[in-house]
Amino acid sequence: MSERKQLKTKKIGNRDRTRLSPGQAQQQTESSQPAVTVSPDDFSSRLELMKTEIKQNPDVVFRRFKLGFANLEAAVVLIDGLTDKDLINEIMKSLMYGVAETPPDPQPAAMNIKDFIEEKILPASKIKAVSTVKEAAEEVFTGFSALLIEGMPEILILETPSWKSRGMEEPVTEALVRGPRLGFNETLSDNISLLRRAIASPQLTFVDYWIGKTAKKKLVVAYMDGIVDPEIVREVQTRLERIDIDHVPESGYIEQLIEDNYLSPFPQLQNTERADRVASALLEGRVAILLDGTPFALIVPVTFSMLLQSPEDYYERWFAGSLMRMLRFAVAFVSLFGPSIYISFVSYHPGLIPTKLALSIAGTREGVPYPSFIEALIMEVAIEILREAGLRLPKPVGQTVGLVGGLVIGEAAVRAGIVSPIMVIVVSITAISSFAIPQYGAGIALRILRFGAMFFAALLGLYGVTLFFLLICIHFVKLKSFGVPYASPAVPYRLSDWKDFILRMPILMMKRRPKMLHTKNEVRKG
Amino acid sequence: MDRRHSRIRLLLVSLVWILVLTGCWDLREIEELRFVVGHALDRADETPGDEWAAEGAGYKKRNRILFTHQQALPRFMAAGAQDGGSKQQKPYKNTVLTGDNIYQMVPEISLQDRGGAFGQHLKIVVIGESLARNVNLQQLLDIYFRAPMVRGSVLVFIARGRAGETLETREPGEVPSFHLVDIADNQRETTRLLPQVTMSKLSATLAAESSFLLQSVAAKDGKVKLIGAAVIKGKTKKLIGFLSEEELEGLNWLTGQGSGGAVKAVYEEERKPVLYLIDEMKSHIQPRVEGNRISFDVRVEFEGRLIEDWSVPGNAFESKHLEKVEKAIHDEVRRQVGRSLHKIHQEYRADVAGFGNQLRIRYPEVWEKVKKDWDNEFSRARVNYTVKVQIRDFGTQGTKQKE
Repeated sequence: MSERKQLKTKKIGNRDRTRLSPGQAQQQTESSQPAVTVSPDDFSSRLELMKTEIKQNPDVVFRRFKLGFANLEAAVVLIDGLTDKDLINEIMKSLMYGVAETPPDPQPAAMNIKDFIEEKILPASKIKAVSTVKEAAEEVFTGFSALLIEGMPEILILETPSWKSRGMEEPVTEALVRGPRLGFNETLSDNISLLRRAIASPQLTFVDYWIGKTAKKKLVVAYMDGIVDPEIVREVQTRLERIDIDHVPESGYIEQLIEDNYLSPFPQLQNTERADRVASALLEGRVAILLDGTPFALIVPVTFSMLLQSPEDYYERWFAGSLMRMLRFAVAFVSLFGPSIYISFVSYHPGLIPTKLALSIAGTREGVPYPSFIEALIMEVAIEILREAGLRLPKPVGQTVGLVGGLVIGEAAVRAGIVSPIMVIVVSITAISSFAIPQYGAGIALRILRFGAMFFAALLGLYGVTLFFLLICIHFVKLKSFGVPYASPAVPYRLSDWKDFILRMPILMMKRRPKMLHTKNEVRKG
Repeated sequence: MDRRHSRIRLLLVSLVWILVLTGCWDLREIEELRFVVGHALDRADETPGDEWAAEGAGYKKRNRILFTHQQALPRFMAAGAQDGGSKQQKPYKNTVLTGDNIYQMVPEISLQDRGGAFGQHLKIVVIGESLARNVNLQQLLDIYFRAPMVRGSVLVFIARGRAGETLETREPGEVPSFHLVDIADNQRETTRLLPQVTMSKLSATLAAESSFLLQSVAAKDGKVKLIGAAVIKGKTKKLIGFLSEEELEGLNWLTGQGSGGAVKAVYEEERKPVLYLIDEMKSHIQPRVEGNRISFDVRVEFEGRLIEDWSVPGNAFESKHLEKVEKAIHDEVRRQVGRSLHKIHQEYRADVAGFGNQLRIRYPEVWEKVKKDWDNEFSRARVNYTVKVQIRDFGTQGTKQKE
């Protein structure tokens, strides 16, 4: 409690962009208690302290040397593989010999040495001074190098991170026919530079955080200053600051820790690998959250219609975009209610099926031992198994699984009379529909709800399906994502936002940013 | 989670359980249903009574109606029937029962056959000639108007002879009820077919006490044909007679119902046949009231094309020739219309062509006075009719001889 209070006061003091992150602030308050005050004269003991802090791992490098311009001992601490070797060599070279001028005083005061080194000697672009060994150790583990100099109370932290990273590739989960072929990778700095390149504007603001108590990870909140509603940014920041967890392996953790309703089947944050998607979301007045170590950025606030959108809707002409939108809404409906409507027709309302179709369904169901609900359940589960199996296996094997599974389900099960051919059609159309939803997360939500709908259909027929739909609707209108109603612009109704909802109207007509986001600058186009 | 929330959740869960525990009370899988697709009603005096009488079956009844109940057998009509054996199987099953009331007989079937009766796909009701002549149709069909599971779209036919026979077929893989429904839909092809009379239309006409026509159907050797129409008198709601195919066609021309169909005529001098295909028919009935006398002027207009011409050279480029053809067609149409009109006007004395309706629209106060005994009033009214035939098109053949 007291910690949080301290944290808050810290925040108010540091409103600028390069302020200390909450993680760091925490570290400071913690480490100040054991009072590891560094004695300026005892260099070796400080180094020992550093060594115990870092715990002498094989990948840690302690390099001791003498400064070239003063008879002082120095050491560089770094992690092999996380730092740029060339840069370190360069820095050490300049520290050991490359002295352009001798310092004004052969035995300079400690402060002077620090300034002198910072200003005249070190070629590293970003230098920071920390006062405790613990802090220095934390920094070293994120790829920075620590420079200890005899007689200097602070430890200099040099920005030297560099590691092997995957090149930027086309995102696998969100492939487009038309659009940039560049997706995020696992390196945060690369991702940020990608965003910078997409939005060359001083308004683009990044705020960084360190998340994780045991293993720290850098997280960046990005938004367009002057467009975004400050309320949303504040909300995102408060929620991020509230995160209290030892480690975040992926942005999915962040998503689950800051979402509005953890019981809802619907994703309340959008994840994407596409820089263009993030860029346009930022310019709409949304906030993006990028985490180091994952290509998936998060976008908030999210509305349900966003999950049925693809960047291509905007890149293609508006006819195509609008038709695709409508198709996706239809597809979402089929994916949610396909089997349940079939079940309720077949089990409860055969009168609603055209006579000849009813007879042919009845004919093909002749000899099927299960009621249609069980039949649908078997098939749906089989499809889920098939999907899961195909997903995890290496590609060539995955195809075989698909083939064998498809054959078994499609052909053999029908021949054996376990399921009817029409059920196979219904289930496969449903499965294909769920694949046609551009956001994987939304597809999962509908898949989960589909089983609920089937259950209701089996109990009460179409009446049950209607009940289930109403239940979803009730949840839907109550759900909010960072203060923005999830069902908007349908509920609450905002006609001007309908230009980018079921239809994607011509760009000529979309002159304002979405009203539901309460942007500070609404004008998008003259 | 605060307490209020958990209480609401408890409420929701219990609500769901209430729904779940009550079970699936309406659940009936589609393959367990008995799809009733056709009913045929006949007079029962022609057949023996209950076949199970010796075993002690039967209930108190007077056996007035012979009831043929047709159900489709989906397992024998599955698309591309999986095993060859099912091809020989008839995809339908007729059950014949005798009794007084339909809903007294339907449960009888549940003593003989599996599955639940399912009437929502009932397509046709065929009434036998002798039953229709003797029983008031409104009383007979009341069950169909009333029962909620019977659709308003059920078609009603009158059989020439026994109605039960029309629900039989020798055609493999064919359900007779569907066959009849499909034939009745052929109005684009011929004008010898009556516009479909559905159960809901019938209930309105019966309530209005006006005379009307029902499609009549005949069966022979497992084949069926829709032949002419049955005339039902509005007063008695009983069958009084039939119109032949040609008479029905003439009547359809008079009322401008339907489209398609050809007219065959013969030239006066050349004795060569010529055929005219009707593209569009228009009919206008204009009632006139002078004092006590009611009369009608009917204007029938045909537009169509020359489809066959046996005359040589038969030069259609010459308007004189076309006029000749038009004249011939005109005479033929006029003759046939006149014959039909005579039949309903003089012989049956029943207004089945909607003259009364036109009078009601134009002269409501006159109609109020005469509607009680309209059929008689109609037979006293004069009907004048003019026919106009136009050839719009003679196809890709102008003349058969080179100049």
